[in-house]
Amino acid sequence: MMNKDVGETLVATKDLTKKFGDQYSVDHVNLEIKRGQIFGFLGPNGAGKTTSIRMLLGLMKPTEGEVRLFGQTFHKNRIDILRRVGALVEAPSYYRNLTGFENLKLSSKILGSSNARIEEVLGIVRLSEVSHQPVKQYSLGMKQRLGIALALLGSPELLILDEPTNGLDPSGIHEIRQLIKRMPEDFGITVLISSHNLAEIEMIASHVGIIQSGKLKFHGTMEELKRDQKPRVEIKVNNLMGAKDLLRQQDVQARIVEDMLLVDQPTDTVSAINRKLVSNGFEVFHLVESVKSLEEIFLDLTGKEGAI
Amino acid sequence: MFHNVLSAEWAKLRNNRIVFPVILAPTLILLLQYANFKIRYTSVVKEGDVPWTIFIEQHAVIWAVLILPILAAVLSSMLIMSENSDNNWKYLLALPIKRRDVYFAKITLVIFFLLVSSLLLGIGILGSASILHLPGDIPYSQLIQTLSAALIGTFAVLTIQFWLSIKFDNPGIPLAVSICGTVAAIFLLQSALTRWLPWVYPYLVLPIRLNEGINITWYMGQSMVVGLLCLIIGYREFAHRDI
Repeated sequence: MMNKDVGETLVATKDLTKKFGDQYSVDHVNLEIKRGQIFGFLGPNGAGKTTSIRMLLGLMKPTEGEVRLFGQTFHKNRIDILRRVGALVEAPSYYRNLTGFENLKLSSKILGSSNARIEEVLGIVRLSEVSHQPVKQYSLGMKQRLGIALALLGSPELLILDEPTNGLDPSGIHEIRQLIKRMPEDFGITVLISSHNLAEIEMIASHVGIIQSGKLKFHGTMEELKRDQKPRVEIKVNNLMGAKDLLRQQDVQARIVEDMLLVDQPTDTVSAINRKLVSNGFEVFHLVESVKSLEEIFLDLTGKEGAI
Repeated sequence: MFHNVLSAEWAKLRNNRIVFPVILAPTLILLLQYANFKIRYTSVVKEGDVPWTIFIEQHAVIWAVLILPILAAVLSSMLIMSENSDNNWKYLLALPIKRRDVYFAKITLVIFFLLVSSLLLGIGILGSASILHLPGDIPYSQLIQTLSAALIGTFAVLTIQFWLSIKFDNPGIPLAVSICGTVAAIFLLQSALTRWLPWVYPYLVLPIRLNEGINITWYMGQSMVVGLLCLIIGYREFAHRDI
């Protein structure tokens, strides 16, 4: 199951756009998700993640652009597409008067799943023991897990999870993360997971799309995201101003931050910078080449105002 | 496929207390009219009247004017509320399911419950009459005709209420419309000018003596036409809406 057409494009959007009034909620977004990926859809709150997902599921019509899932459009093949997709969007409460099992049973009538499959997905999300309690007695974490069970029920090829760890405690987050990590290998399921939490995406995603104010700022693998960033050099020296001037004469742009000299785009190697300083009589007592953390990369891409 | 959706919708109603209004509505009228006939028999049934005719008419008028339109609104609201308030539309409509099936499965259930409620009223009338020892043969066909007419007359109101319930997340809005419409109907009935309002149809279709001179068949037709129109408009709006 897992190796079925690896590399086949499951999700493709072309200039996907949604306008509410004059406001662009999603602005010409081009996504591509291939089979076997865990695609992290990352962005601050209100960046357009949920709106994009609603369009991916055919719940909302794009103002402009196109969505293709499994190479098909919603216009003609809505039911066929949705049969192959499992989704959890914006944490619904489900039918609170019913038990977890009964909620799954409802959907199984539409998906044509067996009772054995219901027990199986209950097992996967570890809800078997409480499956006969009404959902209104469930904790938030249990509801989220029920949501994932419902999404898995129809044995989908593509799982779309919108902020699945929202509002969960650390152990709940950990549990769901472990669960999602297993999807491609254990079940052959491709995953799109949206989150505003960078650390979470970093831990589970193979590919990432970063969206800010409706625009896609980055689209690629996790490695590409990190590779694109040059390291910067931190220098501590006895005479900061003098060192800065000297480096500028040598075409190295540096700036002073607190008690440090920072070189953001080093053109020289670290040792070359060091030699310049030392040979001109400066005492260098701290010299570090630091790689930007993912968090800083993310903040650079999305702007500080939309902080995580 | 429609059958599967219908059966899923049916299963959602477990522990939903939907039975409560379905039973309460006819019970209220039955008790009221039981008391009316028990205590005021001589002033309700005049010399030369057929007691059964009066008995059926007394039930039918309140049923059609006050109860059925509100029951239609309450049932629509109850069937749709869980989708609106608990954010379930997004889950439901991301399933491989046609919006058409969802819309029509839900309204089918509302109609079914109105039928059950009418049936309960019919049975209740028979029971109540036997306790009251109402004289004369039981006019089954008159009873069935009257209750069926009331249902047909309610169709337009039902489709409007159903549409409003789906349209607005807040169940207060369709219920407010329902109550205003019903109260207004009591006054608007008086004038031929305002008889186009859907809330007056349930009364105007009743085959009772008070409606002599009124073409009840015409109003049945009007209720069906307005009802079908609202059904189609409501469905189209739902089908194209961003969820």
